Amino acid sequence: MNKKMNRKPRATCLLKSLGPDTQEALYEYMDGVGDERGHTYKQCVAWLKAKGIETNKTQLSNWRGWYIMRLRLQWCQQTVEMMMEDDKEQGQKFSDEDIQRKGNRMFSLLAIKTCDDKAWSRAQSLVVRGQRLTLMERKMEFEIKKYEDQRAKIKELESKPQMTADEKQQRIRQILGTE
Amino acid sequence: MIPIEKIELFDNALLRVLDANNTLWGLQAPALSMFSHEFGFAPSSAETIRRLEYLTGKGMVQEVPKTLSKANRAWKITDAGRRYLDEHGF
Repeated sequence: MNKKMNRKPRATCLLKSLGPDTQEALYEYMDGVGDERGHTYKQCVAWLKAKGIETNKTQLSNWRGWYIMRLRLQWCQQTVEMMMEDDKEQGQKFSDEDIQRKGNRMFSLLAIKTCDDKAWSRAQSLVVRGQRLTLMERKMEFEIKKYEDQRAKIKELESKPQMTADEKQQRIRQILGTE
Repeated sequence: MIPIEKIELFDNALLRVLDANNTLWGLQAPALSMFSHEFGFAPSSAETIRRLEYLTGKGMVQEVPKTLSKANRAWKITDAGRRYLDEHGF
């Protein structure tokens, strides 16, 4: 390892050492923003070449992985900071030690949550499935209640001797909503 | 269990994950293990900690100070670690 310590930095780290604005622009050009479509690695290489930066597809791919990971971690940091701010607003006092411990723990937990894509999508689909079940349950309850109301009205109607059979039938159709 | 011939690649993966983290916070072993999945590894937290301790010995990563207990250990990359990645094309 030490023998290689003085080797010249390669192009991948040149991409990492570009200014934040250039890196953001590159990422947006690569992945597209909003309705704008992204570009292939080949197009990105040409785009960078026009800016005087020599690179290749492999290095771009490595850089992209690194940049996405960095964005995720930055998002985690911002979320942790917001959570800490909320705690402070609620009157919780933290020592430096507490901040470090809590921050590191929350940061790592968030990182796990956001970076295991499959687990994340599984959790999301379970939430959606749960919501769908609740909705179905409510619908069933509503239908049962409706049926019970109709039954009660029909029973009440059948117990009225002053109505003719035709009148009763018409009223039942009205109650069932078939008329 | 990571085969011995892939240990160096695993070390590189850990360094690459730590390199992507330019935040205030260090990363704990479970998060690092999870991230290393993206590089084709599925290590246990214990394996990750073992390699982090090795890399700490090499001066490439450092344990975030002021942690109260061993259960809350977190790591960050050092300048030497970043230099190593740069020189190896990562």
